[in-house]
Amino acid sequence: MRFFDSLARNLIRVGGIGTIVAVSTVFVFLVWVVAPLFRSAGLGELRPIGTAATQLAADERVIAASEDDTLTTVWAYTSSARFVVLPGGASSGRGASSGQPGGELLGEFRPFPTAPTAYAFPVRSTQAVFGFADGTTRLVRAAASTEYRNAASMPRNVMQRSVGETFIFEGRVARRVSADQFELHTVQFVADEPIQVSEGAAIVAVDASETPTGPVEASVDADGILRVTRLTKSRNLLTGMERVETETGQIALRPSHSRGLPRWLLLHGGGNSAIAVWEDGRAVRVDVSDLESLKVAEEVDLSADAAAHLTQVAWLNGKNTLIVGDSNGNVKAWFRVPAPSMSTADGMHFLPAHNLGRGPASVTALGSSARTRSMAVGYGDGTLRLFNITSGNLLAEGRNASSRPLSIVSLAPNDDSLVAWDGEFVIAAVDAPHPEASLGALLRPVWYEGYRSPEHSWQSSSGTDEFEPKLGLWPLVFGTIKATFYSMLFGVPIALMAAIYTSEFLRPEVKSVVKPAIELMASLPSVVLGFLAALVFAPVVEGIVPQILAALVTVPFVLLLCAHLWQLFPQGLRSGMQGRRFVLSGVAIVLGLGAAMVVGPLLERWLFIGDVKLWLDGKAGEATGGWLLLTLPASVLASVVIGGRAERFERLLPGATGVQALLRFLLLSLVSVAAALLVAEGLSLAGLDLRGSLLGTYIQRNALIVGFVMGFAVVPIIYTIAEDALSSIPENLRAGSLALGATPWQTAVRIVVPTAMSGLFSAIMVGLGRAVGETMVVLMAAGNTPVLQWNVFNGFRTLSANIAVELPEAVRNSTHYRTLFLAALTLFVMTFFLNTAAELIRIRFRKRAYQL
Amino acid sequence: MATAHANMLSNGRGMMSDAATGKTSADAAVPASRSAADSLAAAARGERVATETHLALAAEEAAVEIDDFCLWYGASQALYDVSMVIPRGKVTALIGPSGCGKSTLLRSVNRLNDLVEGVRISGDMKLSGASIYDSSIDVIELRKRMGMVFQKPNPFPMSIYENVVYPLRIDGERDRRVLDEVCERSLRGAALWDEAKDRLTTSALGLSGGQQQRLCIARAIAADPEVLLMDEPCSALDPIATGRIEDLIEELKGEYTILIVTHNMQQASRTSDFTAFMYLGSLIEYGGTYEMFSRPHLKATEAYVSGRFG
Ligand SMILES: Nc1ncnc2c1ncn2[C@@H]1O[C@H](COP(=O)(O)OP(=O)(O)OP(=O)(O)O)[C@@H](O)[C@H]1O
Ligand SMILES: [Mg+2]
Repeated sequence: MRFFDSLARNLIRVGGIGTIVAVSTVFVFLVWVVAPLFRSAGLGELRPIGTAATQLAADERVIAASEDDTLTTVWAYTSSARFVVLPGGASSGRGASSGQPGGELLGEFRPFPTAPTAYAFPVRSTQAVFGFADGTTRLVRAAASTEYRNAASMPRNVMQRSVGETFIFEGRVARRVSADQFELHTVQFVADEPIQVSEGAAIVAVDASETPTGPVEASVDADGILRVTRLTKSRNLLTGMERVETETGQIALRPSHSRGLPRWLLLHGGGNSAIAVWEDGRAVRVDVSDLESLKVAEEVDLSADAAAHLTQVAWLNGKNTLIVGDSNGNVKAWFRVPAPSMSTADGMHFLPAHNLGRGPASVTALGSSARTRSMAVGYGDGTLRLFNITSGNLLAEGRNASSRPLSIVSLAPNDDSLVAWDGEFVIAAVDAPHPEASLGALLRPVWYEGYRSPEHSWQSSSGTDEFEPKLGLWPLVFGTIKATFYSMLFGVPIALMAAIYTSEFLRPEVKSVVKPAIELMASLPSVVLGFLAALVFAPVVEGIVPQILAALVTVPFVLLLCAHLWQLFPQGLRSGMQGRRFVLSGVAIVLGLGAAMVVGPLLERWLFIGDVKLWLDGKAGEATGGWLLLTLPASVLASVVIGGRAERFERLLPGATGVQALLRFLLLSLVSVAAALLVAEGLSLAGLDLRGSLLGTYIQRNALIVGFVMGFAVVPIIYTIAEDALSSIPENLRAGSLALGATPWQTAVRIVVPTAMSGLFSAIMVGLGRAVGETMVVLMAAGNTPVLQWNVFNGFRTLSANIAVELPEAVRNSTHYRTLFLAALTLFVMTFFLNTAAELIRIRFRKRAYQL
Repeated sequence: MATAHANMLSNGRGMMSDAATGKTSADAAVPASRSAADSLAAAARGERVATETHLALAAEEAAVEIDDFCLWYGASQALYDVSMVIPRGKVTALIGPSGCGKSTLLRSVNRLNDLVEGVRISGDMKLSGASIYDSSIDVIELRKRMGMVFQKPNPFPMSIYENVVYPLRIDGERDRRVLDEVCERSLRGAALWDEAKDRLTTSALGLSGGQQQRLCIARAIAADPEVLLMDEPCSALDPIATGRIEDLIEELKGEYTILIVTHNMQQASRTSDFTAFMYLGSLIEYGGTYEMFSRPHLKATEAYVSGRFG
């Protein structure tokens, strides 16, 4: 016996500790996955690769540079109109450590016979565009290739290289991949045929964008003419020949710009808008969507302060956000948003959204990331800063040893390294895996590209890599709260009423059927519920919105009316039918629903201009009908309270009969409807409207549907626990109250419910926990649009549904992936706090019941 | 649910009906020499046992009259043709062995048995001459005219104050002055005022068992009932608490008509004016307490009160 006792005790102890350990492990695991999101970014030391003397001529400047994605090579374009290729961070690092004279040129390309007069190196693009004095432009493509060689075909002297080592071999970067394989990297630059853009006038600024239909080029020539050329490549299916068709539009940049020619020309990513920027900050944005007629959309002043001039202008990844740096070190991000009143030609408006603050010296270089919304900024004193534009956060800061201006900074394709030029090439390791994540960006409104103002938004992915991920968690938290609120709004009253009714008023035989029946509801898999909600319930409800609104009124009314009529029957007949009360109330509910079917369309015609959905859109009709939804319950409640007081005086009158009660009920109903109408009309006249907050445009899958159906999932749980709590109230308490002349209803409300309060509260809390975490129903029936609206007739996206939808497609360890884990952690914390709070309140209730 | 049995014998408000008086006299005429075994054996066989009612009852004004009252729990009969008169302003004790139907009879008076599944009755009861089981009667109003104290103290889980004024609360009384007054009067009436007056707002569950029972009495008399029904009010209490409750019953006598069930013969003899002896659902003998304990008409009663069986 003693043995079993201690066995049981130990098992329980192990189980308890095990549970705590399991829960903590889950928590720790979630935190462990999430934590890297908030780790600050790292920027390695800026160290030179090789010596400049061996690489470039004395007066040769670097105009553009970039590292390849494996960091084995760096290419640069210089003022001598040539491309040079050097060993990259990976190779030179190794080379240096193994005594290699790293940094020598691996190759050189001179694709043009004459030096270009203008150039552009678009972000993410594998091609650069050049303009020439003769009015032509040419595209130049960088082609990287890798060749694999067997060890057998390599000379003996490289065989002593260890696996993974990088070295220079025959003017190429070579790496020993395995014992018997080497790879050789080659970069080449190939120029396209020149395109004659301008007749004779030199090109002073160019840009190019790649659009789905083909490249688009923009250029400004020495006469101040802006031209946009769309190249459409088509391949002849029979001959296999590629034909390039060009289509060009042009506009003269206003001669009133006596300041001369623009310094920069920037073509938007979509190729539908171009911006010419002067050094003094003046910018002209031209709508180029219609090549037949280019129009100046607007003129803006990009300068941050009058004493400075612009030094650097560059697109952020995606070519929609313009980063502008000036001689005082200010950096700002500008983008287009829809103009409030279509005041510009293309209905867009260019405005400064992010101010990245003032640097220590003038901005000398901008290098945008090809995968994120990050931007490396080089300053005149050799300082280097890494920003995330979406969040506006400074991620990391570094400095070169020489303090010379950084005239080029360029992030490697994977954001894991950067190459800069300050008279010689320098590279630095970059560690910024989650630049867009910060507590502020995840929880506060963020000013996303193209939005008019900072907003909460969740949109984690899209078709293109240039998309700006919007990882605001608040819409999801809000969706969770909304789902919970509406399902509890439907579920709790029904479940509690049902529990009170079964425990206090139902005969045991009926109860023994009803209770298991309701509990059976819980066995419905929530995926089935969700499926029914989305595919059956939602379309049906959509067709009968007015009837449903009417039912909220008619069902209780008819039920009460029937109860009053019932009192008019002779006592004998009534006691004979006692047992069938349950059935009778069912009949009354059906009658109420029938009444709703009749009243619904009438209400629609009267209050909702004959079409509820049109009314909900908010464009037509008065607000009265919407207010009624709030004022009617309020006035009914008020009249019940006032009626309850009146009842006391009525008792003094002898012979209060059923007829009187019925008349009083009808009078009260009439009065409350009239009062509700009056208040609603008043609110409506005062110009207040529920549409836009609690009500709004009807979406088929909405909170109402979820509320109803999730109620189905939540009701059995709440019901079961609540019913048990009520039934466990000792019978002698009930008898005591009844013996004092309390009605069963008074006994239930005044004695049984307060005594069972802690149990009822746990019931609600368990239901709440279920509603917060419920996934399938909301996933299928909530529409999953992460909008921030209380509107009952609109959908939402919950944390749980979001995790279910997006986790399978999230790239492991990406920012998106970790943010989803953060969503899971948030959900965990929410339920944890809910349960803890519930437990505390429950204990308080229990204490109060015994101590008061 | 209970089927009301309409017995239209209501005349003479608060007065004993002629029929009842006549029967009482007739019963009294039965010779007192019936052997103990006779009536008990008859009761055991389920036969109708004529109640031996003492003449002393005839002089009393009736608060509650019970006429040929039978009660069935489903198929099993628990009360057999009980007829008795409960005198106004007096204490009447119900005694008898366990399971003889004392509680059932008591709960029938305020129709608390209505709540039990499958209860049927026949016969009638009258409160101050008006039928209790008539179909037109409002049970709620009826119960308000009676107070009931249960075997186990059952204070509600609220403050002492709220417990006492509960009967007024359910009538919708909100006037603080009225409530305060009733609370004090009832607690004084139940001899609990001095102990409870400083802790009226604390939970009633913090009181001792005896105090709780007195609180239940205070609650029962708060609405000024005509009849007080007590079902073994002292069986869960210690002797001192029992003594206090007995003193209380003594004080309440006169103001209230009290019907008390007890297993304690001393208690019955100490506190009550009249005693009714029940056996297996039948009322065997009913008379003045002194008579019943010292000179019972029936041997069965004598045997029971002297502790020789039961
Ligand atoms: N709710 C009920 N359902 C069915 N039978 C019942 C019920 N209550 C009591 N009885 C039966 O009715 C009979 C009388 O019971 P009752 O409780 O009235 O006895 P009692 O005299 O009060 O006994 P005690 O002195 O033990 O309290 C008993 O046989 C009992 O089993
Ligand atoms: Mg009993």
